Amino acid sequence: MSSIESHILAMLENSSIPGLYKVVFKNMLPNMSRIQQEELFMILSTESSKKAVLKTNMKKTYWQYNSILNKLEDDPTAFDKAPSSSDQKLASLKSKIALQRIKKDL
Amino acid sequence: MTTPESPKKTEAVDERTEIPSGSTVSQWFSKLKKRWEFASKESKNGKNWKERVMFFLAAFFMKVGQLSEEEKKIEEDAAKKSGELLFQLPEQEIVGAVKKELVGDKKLEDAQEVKVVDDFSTILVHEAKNLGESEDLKKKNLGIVAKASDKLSEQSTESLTLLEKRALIAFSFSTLAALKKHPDYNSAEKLAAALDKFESATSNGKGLKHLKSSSRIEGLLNFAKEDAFSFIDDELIRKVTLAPLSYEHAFKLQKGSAKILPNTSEENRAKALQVINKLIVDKNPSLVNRRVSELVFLLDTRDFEFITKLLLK
Repeated sequence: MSSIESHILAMLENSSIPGLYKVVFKNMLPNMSRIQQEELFMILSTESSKKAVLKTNMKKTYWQYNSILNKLEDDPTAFDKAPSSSDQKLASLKSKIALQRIKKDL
Repeated sequence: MTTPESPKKTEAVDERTEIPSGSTVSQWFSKLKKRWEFASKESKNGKNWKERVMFFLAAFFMKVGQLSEEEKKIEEDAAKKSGELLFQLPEQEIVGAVKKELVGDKKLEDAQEVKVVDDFSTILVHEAKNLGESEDLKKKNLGIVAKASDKLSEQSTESLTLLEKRALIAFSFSTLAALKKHPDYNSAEKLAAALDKFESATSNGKGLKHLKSSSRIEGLLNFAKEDAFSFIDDELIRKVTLAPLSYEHAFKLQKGSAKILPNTSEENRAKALQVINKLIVDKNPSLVNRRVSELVFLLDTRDFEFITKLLLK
């Protein structure tokens, strides 16, 4: 079995294409022309790489909304408050002090 | 002293931290969706975060919807392109692959069984490849039927889409019309005997027996009764044989059925309705092949083709 054939067989396992297509391609793989094999390889590898990108986005979305829900469950007021002006002043003061320390160190 | 955590609490904590599983978007997000839905219900029961929950819930569901769309596009694209490639392959080879799936590991020794499997596989592939008027439509419909067959084979837990149901019914009708035209199966008796042979020959594979045992068939029948013909503006047709027919009901249906069976005689339409009624009410599996064959020969072949076209529009 050539290398392209074994790659195709491995990718067919994880592909979403209909079962009937998979059966036909598996059976006919050795009799397909090189061009047809390459075409099939391209179709399957494109699908596989697009699915990998999708999976990354799925993970990102999952953890983002999982953590929001966890926060809400832990503290129903978690997203209630916009930062107050005194909080903002305090944060700005802290960053100024940090900046002065860095300057001193330099 | 520490008290052991209650199982409920541990379960809840697990849900919050566990890594989702599944390969599809719907599997991946199923638990998190349930948790968000539960949170939205809770918020209505007094928790003070209704607005936040609704805001995030909407954003989350929208995002999952987008991901599902993306997934669907990727799969459709792969199915379309691989379908185009499949169309380039010799039909005989495709028939061979289908035959393998249908027969499974059974060794066929009866010459009649071999012949029926050969003929049926050839007709099935030919009809599946010719569902539609344009080449594009044929390729698209083959993909839909193939995907729906996967679902019928219970490889998938997803339900059939409207498009898949219509394509499957259209495919069944066009296959029955083709069988009817075949010189070896051109009477109700011959077709019923062939269906029996086909059923026994494919008992180990994904043939008739497998199909009959699938719970989805029931759903498909209900769809045929309720929705498949909803494009016809006639309440009665949509309710074809839900229950044993009263004389009055049968009379009305007989008149109404002229719309979807314009080429079948009134007498045969009446008989056909009785057969459908028996098929649905009395589910005796040993009589199904006989009744289906009877039905096929009561209806005009042109009506099978007419319905197929309507469903594929």
